[in-house]
Amino acid sequence: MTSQPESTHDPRRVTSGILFSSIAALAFATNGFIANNLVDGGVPGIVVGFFEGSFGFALVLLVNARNLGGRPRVDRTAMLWIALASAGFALAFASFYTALSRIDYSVGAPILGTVPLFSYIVILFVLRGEERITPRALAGAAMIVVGVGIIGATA
Amino acid sequence: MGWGAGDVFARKAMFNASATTVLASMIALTVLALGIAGVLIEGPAAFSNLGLRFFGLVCLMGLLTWVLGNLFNFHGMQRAGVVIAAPILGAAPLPAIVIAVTLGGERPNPLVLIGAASIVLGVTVLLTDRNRVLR
Repeated sequence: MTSQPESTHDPRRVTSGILFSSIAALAFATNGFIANNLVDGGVPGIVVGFFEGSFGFALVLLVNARNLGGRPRVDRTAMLWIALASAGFALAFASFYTALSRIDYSVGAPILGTVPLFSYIVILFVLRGEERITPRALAGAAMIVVGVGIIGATA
Repeated sequence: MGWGAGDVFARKAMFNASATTVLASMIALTVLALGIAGVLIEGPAAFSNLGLRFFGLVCLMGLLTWVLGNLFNFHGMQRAGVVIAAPILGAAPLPAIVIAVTLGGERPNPLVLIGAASIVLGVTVLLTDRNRVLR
């Protein structure tokens, strides 16, 4: 990806990238709104997460049928990381959707914005030697913590 | 925290397996964990009598999160670069609040909006810092 001549310097390519990222952000935002409606209707958050994942799994298999043909190789190390990632995602879906049955979506969504901060913290431990703590990163982290603190104190 | 850690663990898994295989295996295990936990916590009855509207909406959620969200995020990163694409995704709480206010009729406290703005700004500052990447 680093040596692609048309990579991030072609304005049209960058514009389309911005458009794609915006659509992704909108898709995730809409998803949370639908989840909020379902759990407000009395369906447990964990059940919503289960069926969302089930349909998601079927759709991913459908979209990637060609790539997944044959016998995909997954060694023991990859399987361990996959299991850990799955545990994290299961916990996240169950707890966020359960939380939405108790708080407004406009309160829960900003807290969900802290995901990159936790990724960064985990990266510092898991991908040691690839990232470092800079003053700017610390400032960003502080703003996120202050934002969550304000929401937590007022909501 | 679960999503933040899960993202990194998935990236680690991708060093030893293809992205598609990791994604498919990860969703399968996530669904399994949610199913077992759901039966233990809520009981098997919670999974029945949910109605067509429910299944239509969760199918749409599966499409939005696992297919459209991930697919467009991947292509956005590839075309615009992480420095531009990541803050856009980090700003997802803003459209979420707009949707909650316009479609859901919610009226968030002004301080919640200030907190949301602080989070989005913090994520932007954090993700656009090129100096934190050593190699």
